[in-house]
Amino acid sequence: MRRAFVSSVVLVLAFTAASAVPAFASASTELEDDEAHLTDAFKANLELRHWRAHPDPLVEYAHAPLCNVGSQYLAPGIDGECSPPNGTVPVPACGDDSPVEPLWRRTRPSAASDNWSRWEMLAGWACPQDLLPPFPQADFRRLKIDPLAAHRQPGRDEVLVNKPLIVYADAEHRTFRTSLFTYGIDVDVYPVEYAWDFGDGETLTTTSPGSPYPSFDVAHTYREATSATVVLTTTWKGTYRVDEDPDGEWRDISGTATTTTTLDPFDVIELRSRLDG
Amino acid sequence: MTSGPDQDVTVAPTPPAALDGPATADNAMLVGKYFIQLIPYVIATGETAQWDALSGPDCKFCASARELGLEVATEGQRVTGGAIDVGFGHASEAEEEGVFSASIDYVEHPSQRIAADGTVLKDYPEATTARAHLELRWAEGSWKILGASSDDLGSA
Repeated sequence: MRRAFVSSVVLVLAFTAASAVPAFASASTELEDDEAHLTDAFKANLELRHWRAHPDPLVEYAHAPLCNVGSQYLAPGIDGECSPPNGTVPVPACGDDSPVEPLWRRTRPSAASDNWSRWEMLAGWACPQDLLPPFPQADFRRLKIDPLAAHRQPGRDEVLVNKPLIVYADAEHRTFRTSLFTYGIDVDVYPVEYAWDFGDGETLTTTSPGSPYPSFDVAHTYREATSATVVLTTTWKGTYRVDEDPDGEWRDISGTATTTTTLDPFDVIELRSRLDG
Repeated sequence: MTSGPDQDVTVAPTPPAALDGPATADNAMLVGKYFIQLIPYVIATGETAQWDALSGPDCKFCASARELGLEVATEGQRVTGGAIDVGFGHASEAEEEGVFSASIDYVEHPSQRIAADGTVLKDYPEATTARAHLELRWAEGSWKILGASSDDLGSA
């Protein structure tokens, strides 16, 4: 099975303020996915696209419902001899879309020859959705997603024990322009979960990015003096849109990707009262 | 009640006649729908007999649901909600004889998974629409799911 990989990812940062990050999830979609199966219709269409880009005089393609030169009721869809089976291919129901006709191919021994082979059916009727590339999770994880910027308040080099430290991330979508299986695509990724590690053995995972003071939505209180490094691990999901999709539909990408943001280390100290002297 | 969020997911879905074949795209689609309907049942009850009978040996999706169902059952967890309403389905035969690709649209209702001590382990507060892609094979008188994946399409 051919696999194509996301090539030359161009990172375009789109700063759209994401006030509420969509958190679509369900038990069934969080189960582990098997690799996307490339349907025959998709593979055959890839071959056709390649041929259109690099025409080969030894091969011809055609879309036709039938290749039946023997029927008295139906006109043959295309000229020439056909290999059996001759046209008894199921037509799928495609929701709101019209099904795409079967793809046929024939070859000849040389460009000067008129001795074409019989038409062979490469793929039967398919739904237009089947011709669009899938986005395997492995390719999603290869995208170089810039980690979110994260902040803490107070932001001083020294903060106090037993006082809440506010943390928050600048939640944003990131968009990319790239390609999958030779199809130009737009990709939009967005954060869905934030896992904060405070460096003292405590962690906090939320679906909210947090916000600056005076919000204590996402905060942590250190109980002991220490030297701390706060690390944010962001989980991302995404959607993609294929240039050639006439519906321009944003399709879900399987699975998730993660990024890490590490804040500069700081010290947590105790405030000693002068009276302790 | 056979649809909507209040369905009893501890009642096993009715196996379709399509399970007995023959190997047609329509039957593949119906078996695919049944497979999706089994998911909340497996997770809520840990009963995997029907699921195992359909699961192909390399199907990670199948193994993942099975593990989750067994975890719920053995660790005394409790699942509320999670019922699935199956929608539009479509299947087509692959080049290899007896192998079919199916896609099934469905809605999964909100659910929670709760540990024995009452901690909420997973909370899915929104009903979501999703599309599952399955690969099935008919061989020696039975269907097997060779692989599956499922993606959220948005809130229902």
